[in-house]
Amino acid sequence: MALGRPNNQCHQPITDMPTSSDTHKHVNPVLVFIILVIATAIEVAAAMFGNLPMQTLAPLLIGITVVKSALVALYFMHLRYEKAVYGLLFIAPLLFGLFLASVLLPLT
Amino acid sequence: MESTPTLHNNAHEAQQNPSEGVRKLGFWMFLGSEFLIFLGLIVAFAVTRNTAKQWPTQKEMGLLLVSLNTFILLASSFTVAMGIESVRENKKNNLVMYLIITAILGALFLMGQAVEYNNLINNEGHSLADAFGTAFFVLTGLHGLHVLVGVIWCVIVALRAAKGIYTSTRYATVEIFGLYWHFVDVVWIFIFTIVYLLNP
Repeated sequence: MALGRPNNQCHQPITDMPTSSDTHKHVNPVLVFIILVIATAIEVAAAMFGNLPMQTLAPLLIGITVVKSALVALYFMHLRYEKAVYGLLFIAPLLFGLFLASVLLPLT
Repeated sequence: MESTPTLHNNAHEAQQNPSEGVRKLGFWMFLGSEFLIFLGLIVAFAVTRNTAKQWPTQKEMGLLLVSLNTFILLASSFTVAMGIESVRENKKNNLVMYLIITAILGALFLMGQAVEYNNLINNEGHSLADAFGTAFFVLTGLHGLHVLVGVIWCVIVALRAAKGIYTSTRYATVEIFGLYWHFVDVVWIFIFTIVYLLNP
């Protein structure tokens, strides 16, 4: 009462804010992690020992990067089970980055 | 750890706290704005590299150490995901354990980054004054700062978890922290490819 809290609040245990019940069956994080590790190992091997020309290496590595980040966003960040607007907030900056790169990089 | 039954007054809570949806939307907007900053810096890095006269090779940049650091950060994302699965199943001890491992992995990543910076500055002679240093240290330094904030936040969440604050129906803060940590991981996935792997 010293803090002026209502009576019915005094004996409530302190807990976090409620979370909406998520009934989706999530993909096993172990599986996602294994894919991420294998993809990263392929990336490193291709960059260090692949002897690939940059025209081949760049699309390969960027493709793997997009897949890896999509896996983290979809399954670790649960974007797959969330509202589409959250995904839009994530993809819109990516499109801006692509636009920026496509305009600036050819000038260099 | 079983959840403690709570007397929950929805009307009072709605008055006290913004709804979960609003919190999440706000945090996703924050992450979107952060993503814009990082993508701008990544493009600036690529432009600087294409126009610079001198640039360190992959070997000089210590690709092996950075690869190890990348695996460490991926592992930390995995432990956060496992922590969230644990709290969903009301396993408090597992949540605390995964959060502690996450904080340790985050600290290891920062130590690796410190070793990398030491090598680039003292052995390779780079600084903020040259083109490489400006682009590299600003981008990776900002990311490292985010990891540092994440480690501190992780420790706070772990301490609160140990007190039993989070239950299977009340873990919004753990979820928000998880979003932040995974975002930092996503940014690093891009940095690793553009800065280190696509270095000619």
